[in-house]
Amino acid sequence: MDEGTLSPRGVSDVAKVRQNDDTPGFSGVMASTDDMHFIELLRRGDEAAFVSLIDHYHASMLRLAQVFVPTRAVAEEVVQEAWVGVLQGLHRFEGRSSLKTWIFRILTNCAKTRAQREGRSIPFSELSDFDPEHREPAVDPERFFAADHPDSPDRWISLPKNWDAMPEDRLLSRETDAQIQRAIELLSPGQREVITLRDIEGWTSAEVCNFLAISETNQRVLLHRARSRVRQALEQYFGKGQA
Amino acid sequence: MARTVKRKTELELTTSDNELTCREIVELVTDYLEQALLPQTRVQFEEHIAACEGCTNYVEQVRKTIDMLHRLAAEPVLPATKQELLEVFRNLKQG
Repeated sequence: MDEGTLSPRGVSDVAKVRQNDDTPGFSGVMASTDDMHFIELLRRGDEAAFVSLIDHYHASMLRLAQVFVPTRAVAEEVVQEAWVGVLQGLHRFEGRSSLKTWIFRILTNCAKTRAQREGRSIPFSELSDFDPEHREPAVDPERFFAADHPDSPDRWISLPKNWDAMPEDRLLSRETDAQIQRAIELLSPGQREVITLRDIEGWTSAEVCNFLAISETNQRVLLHRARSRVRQALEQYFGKGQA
Repeated sequence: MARTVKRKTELELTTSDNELTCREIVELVTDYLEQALLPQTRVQFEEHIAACEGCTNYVEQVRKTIDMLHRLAAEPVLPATKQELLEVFRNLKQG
């Protein structure tokens, strides 16, 4: 639960990617003056400050917890436990990380501990995600003409559709959301974490790299695979009943 | 779909020839959207999609996927949950 704890993820992965690699981003690493002011209010027991913290982060925490634990009910318990951890840790917060990063580290620590207890092991890294020799293509290779095709080498056999031509209510339906959720559940934990934080929660790339202690390049690899698979799941779903 | 292919690095892609293929575009789309492509590759990428309906649609599908993902975030905290957490806050304050 303490501030400096980072998962060992990424340590061995970094050597395996492109040469122009970079170090984890440093913006958003330290607490801002706003963060410190907030902490002061919380330490004094200011309820409005705590409510605003809940409004800001609770839903995101719940979503991130579900990356690690099997059910929503367990995730809710984990988030509650994390909030207790946050409140009990207020006096220890020294501002070596941003308030947000600190809160989410406590959350992931609680979630990982709980996941282990539930018998769900979380691998620290999935080497296959970073091994260029075994990287799964973003699109089924069958969708393209062969590289030695005389007219259209490596070009689309059948073009991806223009989703603008689809009725809006299809794009925005609950069933579409459910398809996205299902596609995310099938991703590796690393891919799930990155796509959840970046695309659902809207964290910046620098925040995610710092939080997960991975390089920008590795983050992009995970994001690429995750987005590619979700897009593919949607394409399959939208394609059904159209043919 | 389980089949794997060796991906070329960006450097290999840009030095191999001057035109990107559709198969290469779909692997570079995240780097493109993250503004992580080398300037030269970015130009090649944009030249390709300007002339390719399939890849234009593909990039647009990825953009829409990101928008749809972000829509999932909008979930309000239940009043009962908030109340429970406030109780925890009050109890810890006293203890």
